[in-house]
Amino acid sequence: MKLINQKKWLIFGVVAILLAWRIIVVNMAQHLAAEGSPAALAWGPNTPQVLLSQAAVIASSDTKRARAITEDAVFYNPASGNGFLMLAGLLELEGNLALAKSAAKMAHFLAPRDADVQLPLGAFWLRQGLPVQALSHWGTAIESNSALSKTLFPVILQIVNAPQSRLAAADALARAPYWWDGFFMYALKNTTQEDTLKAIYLARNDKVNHDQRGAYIDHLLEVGDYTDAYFVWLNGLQAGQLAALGNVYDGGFEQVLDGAGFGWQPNLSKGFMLAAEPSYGHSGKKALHVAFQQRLTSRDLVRQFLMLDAGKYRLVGKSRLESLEAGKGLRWDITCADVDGRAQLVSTAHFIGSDSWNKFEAEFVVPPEKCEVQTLRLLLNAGSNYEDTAFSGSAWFDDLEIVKVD
Amino acid sequence: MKMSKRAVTILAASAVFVSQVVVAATVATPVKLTQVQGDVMVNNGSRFVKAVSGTELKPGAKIVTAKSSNVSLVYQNGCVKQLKQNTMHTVGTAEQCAANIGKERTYVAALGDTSLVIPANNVIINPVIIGFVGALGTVVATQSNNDNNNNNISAE
Repeated sequence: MKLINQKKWLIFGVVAILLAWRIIVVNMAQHLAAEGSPAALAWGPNTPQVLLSQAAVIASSDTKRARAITEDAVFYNPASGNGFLMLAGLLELEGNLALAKSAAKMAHFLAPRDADVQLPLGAFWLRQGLPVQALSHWGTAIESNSALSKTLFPVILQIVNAPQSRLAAADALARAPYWWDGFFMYALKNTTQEDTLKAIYLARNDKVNHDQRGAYIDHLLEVGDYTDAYFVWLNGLQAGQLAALGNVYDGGFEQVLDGAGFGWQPNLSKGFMLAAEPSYGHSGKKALHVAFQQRLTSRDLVRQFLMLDAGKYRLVGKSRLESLEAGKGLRWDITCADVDGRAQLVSTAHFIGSDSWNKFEAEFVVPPEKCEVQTLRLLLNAGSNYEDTAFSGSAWFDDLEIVKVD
Repeated sequence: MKMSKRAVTILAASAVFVSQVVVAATVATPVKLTQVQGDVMVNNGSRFVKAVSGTELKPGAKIVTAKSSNVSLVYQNGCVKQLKQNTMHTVGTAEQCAANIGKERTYVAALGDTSLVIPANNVIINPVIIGFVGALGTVVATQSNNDNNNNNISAE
């Protein structure tokens, strides 16, 4: 009995030593292969990783032999995405494109989320003239390793910039998860082609986030694409917000002052408070409230882009002043906001002091030229002789409208 | 041939009368909206309201169609103006409709070809990405333990 036990332990020991040796050999071989050391071959001549390293070294000088070595590697580990990727590249170098494509598909099948396989796979399909397929692989690579976006975004942008692939590429990108936002902002900064931005934006459309939409609208206004800016903004409005559309959007200040597009854009600088709040004596639930606590320089307090056709109009609104002391006072002002036209169209009298709800109005004419888009602004005129004046009190505004005058 | 003073006066008066009738007809003629689909907004002065089929507008009124929305404008002379999605249109006269002129701003889709295949050399690719041997060398060097672990890489 004792002898049997001893034999069992002996067999176990031998197996354990063999396994340990094998583990050491394989890991040493892989480690050395990863470091590119020729010693890897001595440790594990049949280790797939070692074979692939060996094939990579001679790929361009002796493609045929490299392929034979790679086939060995695939034989030893048929589940290796890297092996099939290497095989695809070597077959491509040999001109056997049909087999190369099959190997590439196999590599994707075996390593569908591996950034290090997906990245070269994208390049492979791009070389085959299939940029959209390349985008799909690069998208996966970015999802697995977001740091790759720095390298891949410029390449992806080139693909979308090409008119031949623009629409299909933008469509493929639209399915991207979180990194679409980053790519769109990258494209906004780096492309000179408006059609590229439009294609990327429209493909995503309903899923575009508030920040990206706002940045795109700002860009369109900056380059003078006012109509596009207006419709990008309009199509981003919710049903309840559509009801606030007018020559002035939300002149009753019932919506959130979110600063986007053709809505109210509050100045976010410090030193005063500006908000849509409930008060008394006005229509609706809220009115615009501006309150001062410290001395300020002249500035816009809130503004809105308008899309008025040429013609005669009347700006009307209501104001209430609560001991307002703010330099020369506040005034509403409308100017042309075209890239090449900034003419002032009208300015109201200054609001200062105390007053109950009162109606104000001012007529103006929008000229037919260089005034496709306009800006309505509430301005603080700090004046030049008001250095010693305290800034305090507040003003309320409501029911702002611009009426076409026949 | 000489015309009498009276004949000239009658002719002039008739011409003025006819032109006034024409102008009056032009200005007063309402335009009817039909086939309203989606978010179609009309502005008759200062506010936009949602349009419904049968709404009558005067020249000068503004119409805005949002995405996936369209509407037809039927003038009394039978002219029909169709507005597609993403259009801002100022209603004109029946004559302007017939002559197909008027003020309109439209947001059009991006331009591009439908052909998908482009030669790879049209795109300047970073050599790090496209270089096969270099890329594979990198792959082999960095992938020593990843072969059987392909689904474990998490996004950073």
